[in-house]
Amino acid sequence: MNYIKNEYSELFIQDGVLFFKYLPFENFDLAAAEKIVAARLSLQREIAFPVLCDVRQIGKPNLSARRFLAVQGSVLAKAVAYVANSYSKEKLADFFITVDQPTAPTAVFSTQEAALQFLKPYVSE
Amino acid sequence: MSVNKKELAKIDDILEMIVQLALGNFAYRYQVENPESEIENIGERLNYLAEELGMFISHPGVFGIKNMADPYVFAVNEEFKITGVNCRFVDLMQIPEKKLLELPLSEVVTESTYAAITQQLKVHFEEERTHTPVRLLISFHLKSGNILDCWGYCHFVKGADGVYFLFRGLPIAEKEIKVPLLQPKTKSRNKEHSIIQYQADIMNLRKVHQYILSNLHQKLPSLNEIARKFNLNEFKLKKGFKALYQTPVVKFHREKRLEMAYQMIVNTPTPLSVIAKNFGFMDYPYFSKAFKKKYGKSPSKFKDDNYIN
Repeated sequence: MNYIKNEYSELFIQDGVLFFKYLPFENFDLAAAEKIVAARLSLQREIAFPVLCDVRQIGKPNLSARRFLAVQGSVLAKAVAYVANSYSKEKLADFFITVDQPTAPTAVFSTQEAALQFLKPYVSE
Repeated sequence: MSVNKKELAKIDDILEMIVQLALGNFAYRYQVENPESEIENIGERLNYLAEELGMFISHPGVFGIKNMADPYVFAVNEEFKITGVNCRFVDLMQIPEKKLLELPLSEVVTESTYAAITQQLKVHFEEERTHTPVRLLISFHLKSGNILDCWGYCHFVKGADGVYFLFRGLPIAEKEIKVPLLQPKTKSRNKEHSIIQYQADIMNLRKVHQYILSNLHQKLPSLNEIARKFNLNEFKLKKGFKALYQTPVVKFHREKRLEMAYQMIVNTPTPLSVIAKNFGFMDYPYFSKAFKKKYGKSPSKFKDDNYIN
């Protein structure tokens, strides 16, 4: 199994990178965050990957969801590159990185190319 | 930069939000109409800030005042109608006592507070924990249209004519946040210097918090080493961390590692001994014992019952 799609996200592994795309959904709460992390871990099984996270359609995670994603959401994530295509999404990701402080190395980019470049050192040979 | 009338109104709303935060009203929210607007984005960030501050300031651990000076008191019956009030409550609500009595609770608190109170009390009293008071955060709707955030305890009272819920507390803005153990025992001659030092300690404690979260895969250094690394003494580290995060440093480190291990156990096929090692537990028996203490089952039993794939 190399691909998962559920009501919250779509994710697959390609060339040593886990591509994670948020889908639009209501009520981004702790329960949603737990399901999102569970889906990613079940796809990765026990291997750590760099994660390219497309947040262009992300909703508004509440406090519990952000806290969970910052800590438990970093399990088996070597590094995370957010791809945002708008001012608001970029600032949301910035807020998350600065305030909630995810434990894996994390940065925000406006293009997928730049995000992949950031993740390159974390890709296993 | 020219600003049109609509943008100006939005800036006013943002300024109001800042004022509310400064007043300690962390339940206040800026209404976002267009999330793509740069100005409105500031309002949205302030909403997040309010959530963060609300969590930080109103953590259950800061409850505990038993001898409150001049608290508000009101009682509601089983149908959640107000049946009794004190003068302080009347003053806070800005509604005459006669009008307050018999009003449904839902008329004086926000919708979310009402849902939270009814749910919390239902769970509490269904479990027959009637002897312990329930700690609550209550947002009242004031006559002026403003919202007033309060702390409160709810006691269960059984009278001859039925059951009552007695609420007692203080407005949040009036609550003194005490972290006395962080302050030096002897007062500095320079008061400003003490305040700066106090704030610096808090910033350092937050760095310790982040340091622990970033190093969950390894054994925790000694408290003395951590204290020195973050320019604290061991006393301030121990007492200050507990005051800020309501848990001792060592326990926080263990609990977070167990929470990470939980995710691995439930969602991956990783052997339990590898999970224990990955999260810095010295040996499997120790990990198993700690896990069982937190989750009520040994890791192997937990995996048998919960592994999804």
